[in-house]
Amino acid sequence: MTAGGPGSAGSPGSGSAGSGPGGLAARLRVARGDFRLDLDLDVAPGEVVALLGPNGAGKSTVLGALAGLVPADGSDVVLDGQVLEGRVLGGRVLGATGPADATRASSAPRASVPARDRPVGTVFQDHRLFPHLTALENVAFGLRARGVPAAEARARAHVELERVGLGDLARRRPGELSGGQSQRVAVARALAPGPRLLLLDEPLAALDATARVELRAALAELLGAVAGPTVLVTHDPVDAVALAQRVVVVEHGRAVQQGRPAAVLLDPHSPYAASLTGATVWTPERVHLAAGGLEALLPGGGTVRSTRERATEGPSRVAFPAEAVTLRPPGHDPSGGAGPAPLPARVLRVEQRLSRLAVTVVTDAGGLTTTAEVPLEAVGAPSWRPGAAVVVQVDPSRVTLA
Amino acid sequence: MPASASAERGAGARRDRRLPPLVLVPALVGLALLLLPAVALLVRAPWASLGPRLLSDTVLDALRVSVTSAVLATLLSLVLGVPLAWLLTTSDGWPAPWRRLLRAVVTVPLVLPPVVGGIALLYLLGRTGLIGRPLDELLGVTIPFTLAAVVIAQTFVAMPFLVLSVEGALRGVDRGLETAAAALGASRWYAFRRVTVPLVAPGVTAGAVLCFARALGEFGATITFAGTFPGRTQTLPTSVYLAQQSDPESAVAISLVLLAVGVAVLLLLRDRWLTTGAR
Repeated sequence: MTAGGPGSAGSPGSGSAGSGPGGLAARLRVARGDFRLDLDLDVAPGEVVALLGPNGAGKSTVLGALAGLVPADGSDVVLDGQVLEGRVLGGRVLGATGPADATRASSAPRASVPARDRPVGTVFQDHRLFPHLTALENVAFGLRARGVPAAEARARAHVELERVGLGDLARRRPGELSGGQSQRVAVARALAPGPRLLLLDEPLAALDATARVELRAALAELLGAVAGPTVLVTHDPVDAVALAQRVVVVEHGRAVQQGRPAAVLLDPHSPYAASLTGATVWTPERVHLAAGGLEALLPGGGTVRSTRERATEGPSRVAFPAEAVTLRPPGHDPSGGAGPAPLPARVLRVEQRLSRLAVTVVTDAGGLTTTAEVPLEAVGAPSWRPGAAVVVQVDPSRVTLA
Repeated sequence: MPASASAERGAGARRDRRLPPLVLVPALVGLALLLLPAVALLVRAPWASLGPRLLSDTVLDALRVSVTSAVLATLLSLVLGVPLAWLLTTSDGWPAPWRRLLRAVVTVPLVLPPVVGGIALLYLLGRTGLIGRPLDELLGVTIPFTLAAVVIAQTFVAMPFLVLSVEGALRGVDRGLETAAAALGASRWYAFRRVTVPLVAPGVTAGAVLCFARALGEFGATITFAGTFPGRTQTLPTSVYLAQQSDPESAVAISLVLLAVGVAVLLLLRDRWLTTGAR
């Protein structure tokens, strides 16, 4: 999977967008215990890519491998033409460009640039500001560490702090900063040495709800001005939509889907991606043409119909949003049998959402789960108690089959 | 309901805090054992003649030697002990026997009678010692019975206090901050200097103060390895020992000085510093 950002289509044979000037081209192969990371990532200069995935999917390992903080033995990482990780022959990374290189590559020496020598800026989830240094000294740290004279480092750090709107808090220590301010100092600190790759690990996770909203907008603006590639990790789809031009869904160390954030959220390929918006993705036994459209045969024998075109991309699936699902007690069919094929199910759990109740049910045949939203007034109604028998119907006009 | 529950818990805690006599009595006896000797010293002190006794040449010389040697021993312990503490924290990855051996070597002066340490130092650095002989024959350097010997004896006994205190502080430093420093381009040395050292500074200070106090009070190793030449190697503790045989009142007077220094060190350390290592 080498589908990259803008520019990849028009340059056949020369690799992907990321390996061009300023871009990132990474073929990450990391094995640790039972966990395997096997993920290709190409990011164009100026592009922001969000890695979206459940806990333990390997998102943070991706950042660690790119930053050089996690051993990434079998990986190839090229940033702005510089090999950070991989086999090198004549200053060029091998193995990444084509099968012809593969045999020569196995004997070429491996290079792994240590973290401190990588032109990479990292914003950690817990910010990791140095508690004994002021905000200004924190931001100046990377410049000083790379040998920039003190006065110049302080001046540049001040500019960086101004840019994140914290010029007047330069003399505060991290203990005297709010979560949002500390996050902005962390971003300024990562950007100050002028990295060619910016990495952000759950940049908004450590903040409370109000600060998140405010900072998400501020961060989107900051990231928009970053010239190099940016990779951020998040488990919040709202962050992905607000901050990134492209989202890569990572599960079990692999990229399972990628595309524009809105497109991924509207057409989820996996149950995890579906869960981000409360949608449902099932894997059908098979999909075939039937009277009036497509029909999917579900494990256990049930069927779901679709009046839409068959989707061409992604794995075989039955996908539909929560609004497509109707729940009703068994034995009462207001449509008199004219509606979609009913699937008998039982209520698994009921969750309070802001304005609705989310009722998760599991089908009697096949054990498939789906979540429907019902009006809040239905709280405590006997039909939606856990264990209650219900009938699931899915609106064919809102079902995607592939 | 929660309020009454917490009130009940409060009353219970208060009741629990009252110790049973089987604990209280030995605790008080133990406390008396630690406190009463100091009281006896204060009672027996020759208060009227205290000034002249403390200002005698012998005492002033001993004070000068003591302070000089203890300061030098503390500096030497800092220079050698902080890297040693760093080595101890990185020894976690070593095979267990090596790790235990290293820790034993660092800790042994804490449990060894100092006089044994003094004898051992003589056999190492004495004129006929393992290193002392070549030093003497080739370079003409003689260490025993000099100020250098006092400093070495004090360092041998006092440095472990500093090492263990600094090691505790080093272990308390968030590894994530060192990772962050590396990600910002800092070399290991730069990260150590700019991040680790400032964060362990309280632990280093505590260790240095303890080390200084221990060096100032050192007796056994000093008298064995460095002797008691007035003005050169006679420290306050060795002068107390000598005075005790000829002029007991002066011994008490000098003891008071050492007691005052000990109390001052404890006041300087405060709880926070003393508990740094255990964090």
